[in-house]
Amino acid sequence: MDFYAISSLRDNHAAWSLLRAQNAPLALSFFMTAFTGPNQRNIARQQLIDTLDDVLFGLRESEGEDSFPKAAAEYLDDWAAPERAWLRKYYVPDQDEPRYDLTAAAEDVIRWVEGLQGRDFVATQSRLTSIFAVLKQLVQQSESDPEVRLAELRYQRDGIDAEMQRIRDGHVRVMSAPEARDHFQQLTALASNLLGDFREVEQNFRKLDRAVREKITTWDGSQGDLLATIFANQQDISSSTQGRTFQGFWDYLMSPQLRSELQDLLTRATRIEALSKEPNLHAVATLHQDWLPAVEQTQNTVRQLSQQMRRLLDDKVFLENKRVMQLIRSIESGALGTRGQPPSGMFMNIATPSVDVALPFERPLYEPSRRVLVDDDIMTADDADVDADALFNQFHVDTQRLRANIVTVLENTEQASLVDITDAYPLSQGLAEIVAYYQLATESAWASIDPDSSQQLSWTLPDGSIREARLEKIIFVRPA
Amino acid sequence: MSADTETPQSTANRTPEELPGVVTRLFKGVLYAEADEKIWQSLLGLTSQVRDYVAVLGLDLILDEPEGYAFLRSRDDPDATLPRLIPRRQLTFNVSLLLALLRGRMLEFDTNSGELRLIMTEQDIADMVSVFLPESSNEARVLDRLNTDIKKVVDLGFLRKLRGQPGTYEVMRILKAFVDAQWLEEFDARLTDYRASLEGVAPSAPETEPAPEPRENSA
Repeated sequence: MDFYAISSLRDNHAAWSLLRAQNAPLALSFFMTAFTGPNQRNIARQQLIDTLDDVLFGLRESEGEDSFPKAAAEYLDDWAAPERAWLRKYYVPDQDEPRYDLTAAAEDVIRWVEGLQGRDFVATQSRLTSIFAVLKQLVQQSESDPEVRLAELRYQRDGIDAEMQRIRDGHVRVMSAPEARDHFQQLTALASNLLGDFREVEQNFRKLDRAVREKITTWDGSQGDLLATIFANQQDISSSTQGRTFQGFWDYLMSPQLRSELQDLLTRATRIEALSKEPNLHAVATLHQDWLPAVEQTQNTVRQLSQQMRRLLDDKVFLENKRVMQLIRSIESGALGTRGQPPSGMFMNIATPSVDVALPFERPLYEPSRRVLVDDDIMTADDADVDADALFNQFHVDTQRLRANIVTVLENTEQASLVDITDAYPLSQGLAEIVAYYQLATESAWASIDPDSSQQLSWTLPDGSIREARLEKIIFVRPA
Repeated sequence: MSADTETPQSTANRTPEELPGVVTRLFKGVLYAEADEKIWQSLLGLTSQVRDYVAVLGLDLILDEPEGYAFLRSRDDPDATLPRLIPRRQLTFNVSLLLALLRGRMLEFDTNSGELRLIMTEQDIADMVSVFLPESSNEARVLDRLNTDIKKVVDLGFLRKLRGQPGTYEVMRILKAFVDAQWLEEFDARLTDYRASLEGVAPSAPETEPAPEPRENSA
């Protein structure tokens, strides 16, 4: 890259513009809270506005009311505008609410900024181990000489034999805690990078799709030639390096054997003693559950792109589109020419998409009103068997009466407990009456309820038996 | 007696159970796969029956499977012998122009992006149209008129208001079927005629002479 390439990146690349933006700290911290933190994509607008509102609220508390003057929705629109392109805003079929996802550029910035923070612990050993593993795989699997491969396998077998012998002899080597942490950190980093990669894969597919569309619009030759190149190109999408590695990943993830192996390894990993203090241990145990929706979304994108492409390439549409473009250009220039004096009155007509069926009998017609007969004969029902007592056994606690009781007792004294009052005016309606007193006490400013001491009330039932109740001490004070 | 019992059987064979539902639904207006999944599926199974049936009334079934819509159209009737079942709506120049511009925008959108739905705000539409409007000191009046035009296009079913988002519209894909090359050609031709009449020597020439189309909306 030379000076000019870098300079143009600085001017045009979405990631760099995000870094230079005035409100970059706000944007980045919000992106982390909403997208990369919880590993979410495809967030509906209202939900995203709510999250941003929370972030803004917190910031305005500490930074002052005026620090972030725009409303959450405005920030979102701003960040999703084509000249920023930090968020992708799109509509899914059947839903009127737009959805948002981070763009690959914004994701890169987030990862870079997170890297700046510095890590107290850098997984170096495990990296070396993975380099060895990758290198070995690269060298061995590219070897075409069967003798060399067999020799390599034999060497591995000897190594395994030796290891088994050592274990039989009682030398079991367990990974030390720092080593385990080292590998674990490597694992989490790889897993989160993988999720980020999906965004980029999707974006690359879009880029490929765009290139094909550009070719279609600028095509001058015959349609047959175009189709031939497009089909070559279509194969390009699936057989591009990107397409093939993605397909490989998908096959890998879809293989039942590998999935159960992965699941098993992950659950076993979470049980490792040395890792029990790692904060995001359980997030790792479910990382494959984050992958599936992400991969599916990428698959969807590819499917949708090819469907759209099919529409565009439909032969009638192809020819008509060219003609339509020409005509619209011509109409536009015509309309500009008559701008000062546009045609008045009705100019064109268009068919409606419905059949004009008028159903005269659907309309309500005059209907003479009918006479309604009222039968006013009153029959006396036979109620001899009905026990009307239940009706009269209902009773009402008259709070006015209770309040009067309290006032009367307080005329002679400064304050009175509920016991004093019930002594003067014995309870006649039992528990219901006590509840009414309690209610009066809670509503009155002149009563206090002491939860620490209790008092006992008693009343006599009609059959002569005595009931008692114990409740918090209630004291009524005479209003000053 | 045996002939009588056979009759309902054979009519059932000729008119499948879903056919009345599908045809009457099409009579009412555009059928979208997205919005009416069940009827859409029945239609796909009954395409030829529906075609045969509406052909009797001088109508054509237009079915665009990839785009996911279907509707009925009058069959070409050069002698105009048939009474018109499908009404035609009269459009002012501004509404016609708005339709043409929206059609252009949709084509651009289809060729430039892989997205499915074209969403435009009132502001987008105003920006698109404003170049073609006479310069007026009264901006508010111009915008008011544009709003009436937009409403008209919504009525025609080519724009749809998004729920919960005021001032935002989806440009319906059905627009492509109605504002087609033929329609635009006619538009272009009339506009050319009109321009010629403006520049013509006779200043008293009638302002517009829309092609004779004396059909009123049968009300």
